[in-house]
Amino acid sequence: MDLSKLYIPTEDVENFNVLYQIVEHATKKYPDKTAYCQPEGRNGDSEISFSELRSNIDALRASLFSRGFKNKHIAILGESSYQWMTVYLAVVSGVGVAVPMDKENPVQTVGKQLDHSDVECVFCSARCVKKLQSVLPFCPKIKTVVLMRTDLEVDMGEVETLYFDALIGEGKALIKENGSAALPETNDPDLLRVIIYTSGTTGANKGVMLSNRNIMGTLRGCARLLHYPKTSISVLPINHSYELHAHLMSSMYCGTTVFMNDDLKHMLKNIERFAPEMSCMVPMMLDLIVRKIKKQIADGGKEKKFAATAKISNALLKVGVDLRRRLFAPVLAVLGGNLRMIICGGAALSQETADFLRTVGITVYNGYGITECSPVAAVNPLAKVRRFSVGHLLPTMTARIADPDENGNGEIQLFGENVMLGYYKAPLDTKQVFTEDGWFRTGDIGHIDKFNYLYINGRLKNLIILPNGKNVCPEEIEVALKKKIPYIKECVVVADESNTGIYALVYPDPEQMRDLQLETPGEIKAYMENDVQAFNRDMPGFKRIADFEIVSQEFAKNTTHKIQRFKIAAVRKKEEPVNV
Amino acid sequence: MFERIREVLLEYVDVEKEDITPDTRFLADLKMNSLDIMTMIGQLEDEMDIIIETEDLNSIFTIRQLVDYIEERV
Repeated sequence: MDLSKLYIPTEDVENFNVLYQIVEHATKKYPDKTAYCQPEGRNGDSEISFSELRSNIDALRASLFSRGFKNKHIAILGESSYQWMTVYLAVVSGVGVAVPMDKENPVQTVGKQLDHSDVECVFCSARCVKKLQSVLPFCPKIKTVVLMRTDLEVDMGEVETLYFDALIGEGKALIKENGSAALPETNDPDLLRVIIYTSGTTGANKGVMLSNRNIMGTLRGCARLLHYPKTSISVLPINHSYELHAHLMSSMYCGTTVFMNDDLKHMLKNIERFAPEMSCMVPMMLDLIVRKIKKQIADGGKEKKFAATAKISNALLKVGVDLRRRLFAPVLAVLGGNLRMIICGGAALSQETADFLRTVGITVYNGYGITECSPVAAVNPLAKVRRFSVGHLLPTMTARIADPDENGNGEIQLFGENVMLGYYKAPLDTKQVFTEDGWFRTGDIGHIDKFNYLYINGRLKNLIILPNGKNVCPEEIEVALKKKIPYIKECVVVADESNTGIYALVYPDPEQMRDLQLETPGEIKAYMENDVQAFNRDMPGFKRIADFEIVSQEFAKNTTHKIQRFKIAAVRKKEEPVNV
Repeated sequence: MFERIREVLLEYVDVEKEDITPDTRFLADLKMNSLDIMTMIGQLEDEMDIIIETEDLNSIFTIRQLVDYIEERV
């Protein structure tokens, strides 16, 4: 394959090694263009241009620098907004270490992560104040809270409370008075600048440490393979490396205006309202879009007409005539009418879904990444999408397949500037995920074709990856479930075949069941239902048990008394009893 | 209210109308994923001009619980 046709020329970004250079680039090239647009409830929408954004980033850098936050760890807890981006870019640009937090995590997890990452200052949105107030007593290292998008007076106890807008005003005054001397240096490409928590390749929650150079590896690599159009919509959580770097930072490089979706509940409505040309999504979102389109066709009684048009359109496409946008305009109107490009990652994509969207004129660029690689390792390029592949390796990345089988499948191992510095305060975990010669072990099984496109076939570990891209460590749920419901003797957490939800196989303590006079699996299940619901209330949505099954014997175990999960998975596929 | 919610639900799941009862569970019985549930909630909010707090969804597992929640607020 001719790489000159595959790669997009990107001389301007080739020497960038810190994120702030992307900010400077966007300001220089698209100063007055809208960088972000976001809904503000009943107050309509608000916008900010690239030059205003940079001015705010600089102001925040100056105020944090002058207040002594140099090299401090600063967390961001809140929904997607340009204030969130301002904080992130200010902190990583010479100030300290940014710790993006998942606002959907339960209070205990938020508290643990804030404490573990040695955070001293938290930027918090109004919606997350309650959560932060509950964790503050357990996080004695936190000295300052900065409230974003609110001027509400909030009681944070002993902790100093500041306001985002006030810090911006203060920073602007400092720059006016002292010029660039008010700003910290940004020339620190290899220092730790970001900690992002992930379930990781081995399950337990770990803080992935990234430098500016790591992230720029992803951005430069993506820039060679993709170029974003003029408008996009951000629908994934902003704290995820995929959304933050592959979408929002790459958009800034391309001068793309990004609409911030305010709530997952409003995703479809906002896509229709803002009518973006692209988005970055997880497979679950693509499935929802396909269902919406199909329903619209069915409601209009146009299934036959659609099938006939699709046949003609696909035949024309093969000979280079693309009429899809015109032929399927009524269908695309439900998505605002402009959507033509979706980057997909985070979980396995159904080729059927991608093919359907291609038929109506939306190209899906499937990709593959992992937080530990900042996060993109491969993505299908603009020049050539290959079906079933998770994409072409980024030019900033090298991959190899360890111990390949007869079909060339083995563990995918990666090397390159995208690869993380390590896990925060976890040298043993870090050691485990690197080979002796320094390659990162992804835990994913796959192969690479002769054109450098990657294909994924499975996973080495037990991690469940849901279609929304969330990683669930089954062992973590099992421990929590047994703790919450003490009469569970053994349990195994699995995903259903289509991976839509998490299910538990439960072996209750027979003695306690006898004492409770519960005999049949039906009686035991009815008794346990309330306790499982109570468990679910304390868990984030993606970690909830959708349903459970009572088993009547202990699970098969190996010589070290570990439950043999692979046997359970194999037996479940055949729909036989699980405790053989 | 139950009828209205059932109509909206049928846009998201592929089951017979009669199979949806007040005790039907979103996750276990209808196999809905979190995005389907959130999108349906957004649709109900628009249609009924109410706000359903995402945190409150933690305690809603069946259609009956959702009906009760909405009826308290409409």
